[in-house]
Amino acid sequence: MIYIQEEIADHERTHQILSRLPDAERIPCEDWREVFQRPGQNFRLQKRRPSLILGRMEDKLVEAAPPGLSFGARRNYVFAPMLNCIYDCSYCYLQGRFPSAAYVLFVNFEDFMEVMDDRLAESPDEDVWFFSGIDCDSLAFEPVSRMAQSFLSFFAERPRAFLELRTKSAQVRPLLSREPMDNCVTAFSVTPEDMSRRWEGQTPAMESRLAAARRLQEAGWPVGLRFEPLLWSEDWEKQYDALFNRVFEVLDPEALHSVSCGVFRLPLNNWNRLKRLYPESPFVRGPVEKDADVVTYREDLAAELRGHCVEQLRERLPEGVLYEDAHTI
Amino acid sequence: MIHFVVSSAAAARPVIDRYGLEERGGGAFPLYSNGETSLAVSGPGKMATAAAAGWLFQAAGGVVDGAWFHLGLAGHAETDIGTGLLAHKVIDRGSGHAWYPAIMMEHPAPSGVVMTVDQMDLEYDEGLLFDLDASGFYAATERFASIELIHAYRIVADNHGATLGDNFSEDVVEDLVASKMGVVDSWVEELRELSAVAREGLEGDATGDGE
Repeated sequence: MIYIQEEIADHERTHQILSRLPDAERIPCEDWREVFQRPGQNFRLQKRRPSLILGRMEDKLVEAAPPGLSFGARRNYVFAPMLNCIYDCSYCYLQGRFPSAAYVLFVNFEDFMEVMDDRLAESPDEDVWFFSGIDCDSLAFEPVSRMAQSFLSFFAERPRAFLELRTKSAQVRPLLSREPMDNCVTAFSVTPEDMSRRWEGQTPAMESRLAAARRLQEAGWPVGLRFEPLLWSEDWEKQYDALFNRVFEVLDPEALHSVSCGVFRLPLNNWNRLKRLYPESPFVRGPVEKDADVVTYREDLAAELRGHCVEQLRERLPEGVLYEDAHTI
Repeated sequence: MIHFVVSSAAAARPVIDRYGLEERGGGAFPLYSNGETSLAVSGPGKMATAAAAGWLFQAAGGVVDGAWFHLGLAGHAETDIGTGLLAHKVIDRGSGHAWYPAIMMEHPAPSGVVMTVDQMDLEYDEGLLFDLDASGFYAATERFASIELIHAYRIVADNHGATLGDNFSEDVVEDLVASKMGVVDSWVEELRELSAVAREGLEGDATGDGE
């Protein structure tokens, strides 16, 4: 079921998207918020069969990145042409972040790009980073949205603008079909296979993600790895050691752009929403503790998990690649 | 738990038969129930529908996040008589307010926009279903259940080319509704499951440690 904001019903990108979903029922609406923010929605029920909403974002096009989201640059921004994710990760801050589980796709990419140009003009002598994978997965919806394809063309002409595409998907065709760009980093979220199967609903298998990352690396694209969040289970050490071994068998550590890690944590408000939606979740019932702002693992477990993983990654990575305690939210 | 609201006794009979509902007397509206499924007959109009839904909620124990289903007839300019359409948008013509039901069920039937009016006329705007009840149903039930659990299904009984007119007997209404009970039944099963999932979330709310 696709809701279409009347204002963008004739936008060229709307027609293109609809042509890729010919069988979906189409419902006009005056404003995307009318559907997305309607009262009385149940996120958990909607996650079973999410609708798509095509709309236009007028404000909040490009915003300052949270303080923990930086790979050395001074100017860091986030942008979200899509809200919500096609995957269903139990620990994700998107669980209940919005009142609806529908995917909202803003078709006015050109307005995002215009603000990016403004941000670049404000800092004429330095690199500026734009992160796209905060409120959605950057590549997972690519077959429908062609979002990455559009933004890659924009960034290709602006070498001072850096793009991070953060993903759990293996949809790398839009990148492989063009010349590699030094200013676009595809950052793969990686999790031990067993934990991924348990807690990362509908995501591609870890081997598929690693194979996609390898194809990009071989083609000359910058690749990043995001061990975020580091997750706890009874046998976490065994699982993470196996993951590190496998990751660095498949990928060349010397060629990685950046690797980040950070222990599971959620802002208290997000965790409360998660608790309401999934009271039996291990991220609610498990060994977590909360302070005034944040819920994370019990201090001793978090320290052990972090310490071991950082040590293992330091051993395998060249200097300057590892970003510890990364927190994107 | 699922609650039906219908506007006439004729529309109620196929539901009563399907679920083996028994009459429970003594209330403001005719009420039928088997403990798991309940039905109120509202009479026509959005005010009566809203009142019956509110009354049924209390009569059935005031359980939040049960599923709600309104089954009724509608007019449509060009759609064949007997066609069933699930509402994907309900507009109250008087206030202009719109509801967007979130359809989570597999629905082999098509869906449509329902325009609730105060009085039926036969000058239907193209593409819309016209009825007397749906906006009242939504205005009331959205207070008791999430939008995924509230649905209105309309069976076309009038169009520009043909009207049931003098043939609009109770038997015809009953037959039209009975002909759709197969698909309604499949949704009811799904809605029961969705309602159970929604209620698990409510239990999460009740465990304390709120925001």
